Amino acid sequence: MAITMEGVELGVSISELAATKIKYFAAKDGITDNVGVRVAVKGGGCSGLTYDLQITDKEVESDKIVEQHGVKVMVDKKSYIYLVGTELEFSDGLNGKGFVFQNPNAKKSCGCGTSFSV
Amino acid sequence: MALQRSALPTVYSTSEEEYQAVTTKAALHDASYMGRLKAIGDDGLDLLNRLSTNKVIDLTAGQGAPTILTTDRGRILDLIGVVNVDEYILLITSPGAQQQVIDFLDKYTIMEDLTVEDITAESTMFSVLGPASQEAVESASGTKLGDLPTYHSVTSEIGGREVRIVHRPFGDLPSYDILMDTVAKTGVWEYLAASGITPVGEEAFEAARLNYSVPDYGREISEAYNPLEAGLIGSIDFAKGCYIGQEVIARLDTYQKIQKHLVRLEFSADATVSEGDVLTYAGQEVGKVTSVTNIPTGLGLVGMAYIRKASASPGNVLELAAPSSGQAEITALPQLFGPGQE
Repeated sequence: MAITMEGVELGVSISELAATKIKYFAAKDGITDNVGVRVAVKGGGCSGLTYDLQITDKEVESDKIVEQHGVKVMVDKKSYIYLVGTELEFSDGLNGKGFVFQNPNAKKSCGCGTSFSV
Repeated sequence: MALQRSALPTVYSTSEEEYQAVTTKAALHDASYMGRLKAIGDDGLDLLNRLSTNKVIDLTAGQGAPTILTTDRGRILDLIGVVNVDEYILLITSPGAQQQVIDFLDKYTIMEDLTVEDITAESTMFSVLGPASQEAVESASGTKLGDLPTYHSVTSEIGGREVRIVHRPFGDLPSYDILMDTVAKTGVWEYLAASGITPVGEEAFEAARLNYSVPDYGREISEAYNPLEAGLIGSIDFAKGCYIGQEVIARLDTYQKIQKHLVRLEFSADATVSEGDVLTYAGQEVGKVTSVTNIPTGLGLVGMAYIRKASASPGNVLELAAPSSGQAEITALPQLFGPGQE
């Protein structure tokens, strides 16, 4: 099911908590303007594909970019097909896993959650 | 140059003389039938690190390592040598596996900067094998090799032709690969042969392969086996993190769950045996012969087999099932790259 905002289909949506955490980590890196998170998929990893997440203020022209909760979510063009409908969440607390991708396309994932297959 | 191993001369002089050269001196083998790929792009080592068993991400120019491309079930797609030659990453594959490796890498190239070309036909590779191989290659090239770790490489010249020397051992037998553009092949071969390195044909090479228990693609290395069964634990890095098949391999190692193991066999003098023959132990079928050949110099028949783990102990004497006959003693559980990290 496509996640849309104001009629625009989003490749990756992020939760408000995830956005807050992104801004926090960005500030630690000295990024306070044009805060963004670039998400992509790399080949390999124990389930076949691996999520890649980078906090950045640099936009890549070919990325799909949508602003949510004050953060620019940039989806790498080649990775888009694997990430449509994904939500990036943040799992907090003592037993929290940190940033977590909830990907409806993933058939299985590895024990640590960084790798998945479609 | 032989692009097929089957096209190699059976012998150049006599099998006995050539086998003696491999095992006691230095021998020259045309290994051009091995695959050679050129991986270009900034992300090659990063991707290979996520697709194979060994840690290759940190290899700097001149460095290399063996690694196994694995399926999601932890089975062997191919055992490859990864050599960083600075301008690109050289991948030495099993013979005939080039396209399979290219397709595998291509399948998992998504956002990575990587293209892979097959350069097998436009390049040549000779192996110099034997206890005196280091000395022989040093003498021919003028390059000292004593400190060159395995799978690392240096550029040099032999007979006035540019070559790359890769330290790629042949099991426990010292060995160096000499790579060059195909235009240089005749000159380099003649120079090495004239310097006293004995050309070795297919018959003596196969005998050496089995004596030193070097697994062969299609017989001991295939998707039918996982790296632990094949004795390749020395090319697995258990600490490096995620790669395809990692969870399966880690679990098999942790819980000691492998079902069978590759063994070295010495057959009785009266044995009649072929590849595929069934082996039994205490009346039960425990495996099949994967390779067998006669060792020149009268040492008899030597081979390899995958044997059920419970029966795979050195010293066990297996029986060949009818219609073949004779016995086979397990002399070792070979580990091509050693016992691995403790």
